[in-house]
Amino acid sequence: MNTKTARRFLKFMHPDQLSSPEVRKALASAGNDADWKAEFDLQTQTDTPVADACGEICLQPGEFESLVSTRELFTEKGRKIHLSLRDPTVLGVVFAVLLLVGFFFWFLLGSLDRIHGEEKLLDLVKAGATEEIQQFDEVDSTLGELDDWFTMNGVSRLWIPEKFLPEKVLAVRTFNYRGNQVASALLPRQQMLVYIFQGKPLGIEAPDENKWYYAKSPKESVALIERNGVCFVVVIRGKIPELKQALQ
Amino acid sequence: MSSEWIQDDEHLNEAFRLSFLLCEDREAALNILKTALNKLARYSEKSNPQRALRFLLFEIRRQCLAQNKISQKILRDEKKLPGDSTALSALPSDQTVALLRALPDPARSVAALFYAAKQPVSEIAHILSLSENQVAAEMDLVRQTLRTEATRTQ
Repeated sequence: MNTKTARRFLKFMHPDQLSSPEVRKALASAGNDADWKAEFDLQTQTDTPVADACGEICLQPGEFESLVSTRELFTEKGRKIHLSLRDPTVLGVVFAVLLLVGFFFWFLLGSLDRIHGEEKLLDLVKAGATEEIQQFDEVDSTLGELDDWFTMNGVSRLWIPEKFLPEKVLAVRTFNYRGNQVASALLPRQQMLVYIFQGKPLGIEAPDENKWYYAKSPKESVALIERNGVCFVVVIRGKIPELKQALQ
Repeated sequence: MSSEWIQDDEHLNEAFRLSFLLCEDREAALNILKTALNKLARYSEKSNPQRALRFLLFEIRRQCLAQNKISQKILRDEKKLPGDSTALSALPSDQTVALLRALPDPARSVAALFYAAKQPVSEIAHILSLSENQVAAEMDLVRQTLRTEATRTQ
């Protein structure tokens, strides 16, 4: 340690370090300059009473106790998990949770607006479309006038939306789908195919009655409306917007 | 480990002294210490004793400055009375502390960090964002001012 370093070190020597080996070493290296020695003595004489006065400032027993809970934060016993949004891990977890919640609500809202048993309905429509045209009976009537025909051909419960009652019908038939009779009609308008059946036994239901619900198969668009357990289904070859427009 | 450091009563006392010298009263000093310790417990580097202590002292000073509006002025080497260290020795402790607390900042903070928290010049410079030369100059003026004021008080 050279003289300059030693004097610099001693300038910030705390009075209670006076007898420490480092201070002794620095004092030995600080030189014998009388002016500096006088200055150092004055420094020591100044620092000692000030440091002593500061040393008398102490936490009282009651104050120590009030800090116990705070100090426990540093022990294993009292350590708590502190969550901070500045922590990238916490931020990642929060983001993931929000994403999951968002996905859940998106799924929930989506399912609220979907036909229960949509896959079964599309399967029924596919089965209905595979029949040959010869299996239909030609009629010259409106849909509203075909109640008796359907009833006599095994469809016990029928319901036709009022708007469809005056629709012209080209051909009709009934077919058995998984033990349930389904009424089917071919309409000239947009070559619509209509199916009427009891939904519950087939596991097909609309979330709400008197409201149109839509589904899409690769080639066809399907609309379903239900009242008192009877499903009325309209199928066209085309897109859902076209079907929606046709139903307005 | 800072957890060991913080369990040491004397170290806690040093932090309290700093807070007390920079605060207006004992209760405020204690509250500031509690808040700073709580903040330290959340500090990511608290397992590093030196950084933890620096954080704690920095936080105490920051809060004290924010709450107490300590006057900020650079001490000048004005033509003061030469001052007498014996006058300082003769002063009661509370008056000596009062002289320290009457200093403007950053002299008050330099003095508090040196006398109360026993910090070396490098740490004082770091905490106060000053150069070591500035801290040394402030310390010279603190000593001179304390001697002068002690002489004047008597």
